[in-house]
Amino acid sequence: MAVTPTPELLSAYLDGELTPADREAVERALASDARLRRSLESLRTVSLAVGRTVLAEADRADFSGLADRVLARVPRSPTFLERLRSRWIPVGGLLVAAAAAAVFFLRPPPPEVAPVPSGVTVQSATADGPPEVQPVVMKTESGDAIIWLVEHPDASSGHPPASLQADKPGVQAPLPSQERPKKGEL
Amino acid sequence: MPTDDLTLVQRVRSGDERAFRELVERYQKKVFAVALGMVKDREDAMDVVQEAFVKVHRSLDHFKADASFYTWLYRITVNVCIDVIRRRGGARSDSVEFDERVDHDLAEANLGAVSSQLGANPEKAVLRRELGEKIQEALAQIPEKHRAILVLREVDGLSYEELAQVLDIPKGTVMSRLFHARAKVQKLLSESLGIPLPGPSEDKE
Repeated sequence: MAVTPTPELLSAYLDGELTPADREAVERALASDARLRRSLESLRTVSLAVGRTVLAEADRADFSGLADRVLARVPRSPTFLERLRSRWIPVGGLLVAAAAAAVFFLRPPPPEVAPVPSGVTVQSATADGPPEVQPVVMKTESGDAIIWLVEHPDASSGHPPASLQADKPGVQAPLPSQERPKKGEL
Repeated sequence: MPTDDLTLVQRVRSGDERAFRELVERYQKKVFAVALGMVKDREDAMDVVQEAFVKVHRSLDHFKADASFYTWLYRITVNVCIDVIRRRGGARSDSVEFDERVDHDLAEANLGAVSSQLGANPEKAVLRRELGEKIQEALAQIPEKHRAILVLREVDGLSYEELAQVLDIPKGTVMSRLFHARAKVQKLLSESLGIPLPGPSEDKE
């Protein structure tokens, strides 16, 4: 004689959730008990009815715009390009800065500039005050001049400056003396 | 062939909006059905659906791929429903508490009567608008925990293991709770449909 299964077992049998042994026991009981079969059928009917009724209600629901409403409430996910940009811009910035630094510090040294000859051409020479030395010009045979400066015996006597005659290019006689300040005017 | 849930989840995580829309479209109806079964109001149910998907999107990074997406989604949905029900402050706490012994009596003696009243063909029976309304009324009267497990089971056929995960209860509790939920709906249906409760069966073979 089959043992009548508990109602819980019958419900689980309907759901296919019994162990093989329990399932076998329930099936044996069902085979010999008409009331149990009606109970099972009733359970099945109500289960189906609940599921289909609720789903039928859901069929009448209007889901248009639902995804848009949901997405409007969540932070927008960055697009692929935005993610790429946000991920690589800092790295790119660093790379650019590093490249700029490398260009600055590792640049080849500037080419050597040939020194400009520092020779000057004297256009004029003016003695400021009465000469305290006096040139002695000695002409050589070749036409060159040797200028020898000797201390003037009356360095403080107020003689006008002596004109120097340029004998060679680059040496020029001083310009005519302008009015010189008198002693004590400075 | 439709893309599986986990692939879509991965795509959403990498910023694919279309993948998220696909997930929403795939589950919106079932989530709504579960929500409606629990909160019993269409407008509230739609709010639940929206809130559930917002929570899904926001916490997708915490979703572990070793679980199924839909059990996780249903768990979030049930929690949102519970929040909605509790926010109402029990304004609609019209659920009927049953004596568990009555459930057993019903299962043993009266389920067959409901079955015959619904008709031999359950497909035809559920098409009857009156029956749909009675079922909605019955669902509205059973306790929240029974409504949740019954709707989850009947809407999407979740296994006992999945129900245990979604509702965070032991698997052993699932079998008992689901039976009591069904028994209560049947009792309410027998009453509302005016089915006389038959005496003990004598046609045992």
